[in-house]
Amino acid sequence: MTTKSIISAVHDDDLVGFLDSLGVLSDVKRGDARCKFCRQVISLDNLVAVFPESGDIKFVCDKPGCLALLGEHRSELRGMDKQGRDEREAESQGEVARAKGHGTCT
Amino acid sequence: MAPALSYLITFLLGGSVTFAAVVVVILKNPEKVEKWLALLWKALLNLHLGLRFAHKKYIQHDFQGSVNEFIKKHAKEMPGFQVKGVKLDWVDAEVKRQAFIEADRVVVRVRRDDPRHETFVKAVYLFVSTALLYRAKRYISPPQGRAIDLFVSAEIFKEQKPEVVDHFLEEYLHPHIDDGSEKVRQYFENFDVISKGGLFFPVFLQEMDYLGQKVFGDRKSQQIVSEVSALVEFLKSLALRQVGDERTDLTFVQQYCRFAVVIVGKPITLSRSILPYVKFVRDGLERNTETVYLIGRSDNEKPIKEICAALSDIYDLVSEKRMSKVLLYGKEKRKVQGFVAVLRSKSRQLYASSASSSETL
Repeated sequence: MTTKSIISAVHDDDLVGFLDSLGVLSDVKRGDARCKFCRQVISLDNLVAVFPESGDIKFVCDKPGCLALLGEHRSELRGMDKQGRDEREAESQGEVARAKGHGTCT
Repeated sequence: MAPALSYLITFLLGGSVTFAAVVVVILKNPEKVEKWLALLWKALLNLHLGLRFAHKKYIQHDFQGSVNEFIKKHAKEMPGFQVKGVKLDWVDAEVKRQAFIEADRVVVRVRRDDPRHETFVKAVYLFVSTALLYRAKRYISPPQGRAIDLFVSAEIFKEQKPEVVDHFLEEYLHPHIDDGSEKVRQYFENFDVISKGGLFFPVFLQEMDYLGQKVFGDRKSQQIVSEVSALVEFLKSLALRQVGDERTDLTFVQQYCRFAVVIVGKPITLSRSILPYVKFVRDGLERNTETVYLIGRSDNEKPIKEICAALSDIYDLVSEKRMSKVLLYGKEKRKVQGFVAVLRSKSRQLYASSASSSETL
């Protein structure tokens, strides 16, 4: 055991300002933001987590299965060495490009 | 000395000692202080004083206090946790996009109205799934990893917030079944049996941690997934072993996990000497056994420690822990206090490729 794990949280009252400061509030309000794992449209009501990846902002909806996938995804990245992380991020960028090609937004 | 001065000195000295004692208790048990602070902020919240600030403080101390108390209590038997505790940090509109991307952290949304403690459940589950056994999870199957996360999270809830257990299992275990992942439920049920036998944290998680430290190479090798599945079945049969049964296999020596369980319990043998146990571990186990779990009732803690000392030339004592376990006497179940010592071979294999069994560095 080494360090303390940090979990970041945003309070409901700060959520709009937080999304605005990340530059994604309008995406969420327009219905352009989607859950990274199930592709469901993200709204201020069903948003449960936000995280960065490949220089972009990703969203997670409130389905328990999507939170489970988020944990697995982050755990997988954490367990990788630098090369593995880079490869995974490249795969992820490929997924983003394909998703955009299908008219969806991450 | 005037009586008044004498009383004053006695009072001050007594007060100082009390104060020092309080400081020592606080320093030694910060997670308890967190839980008291959570109660304090909850009381202020109920009085409608400083609502947002009080709510944030309550959520923060409730989460940190509960999780850190669990980790502290189970630290010795949870080698797979790569952290010594958890901290909840608040973010708000002050965060800049570039700083957020560079910090590379997940931000969980905390709802103001949260009668079912959803935030607590999500934060704990996310913490467990990212902090526990993240190396080993690269190699085991998603259902295996998910079942481990669900089971450990449920154990935290059982101890720290029992009122959320049913809701958690309803929301997080059953949807996986609906998704077709029946395996998650099967693993979860097997972990419950293994845990009741006192083997989940000290043996199963320990082996998963060693697996994560040892394996490198291809991700998600079918060989590793099959081996972990066999390990679960092995530990389940061991947990269901009847007291006195000498037919149950106590060794699990495969490609990655290589261990033996030695039950130190025969009163007749122990009353004479510990040497039969020492001789069995030295000469009776397969040569490539890397870990030996000496398990017995807590009454046998002293002889177990003596056995460990007698084997110190070939094994390192890596941990020892008291735990509760259920023993089966026919159809009767008895909950007893147990003790487990973990010995690690000094000549163990350090690395193994997930692609090949013969490649050893």
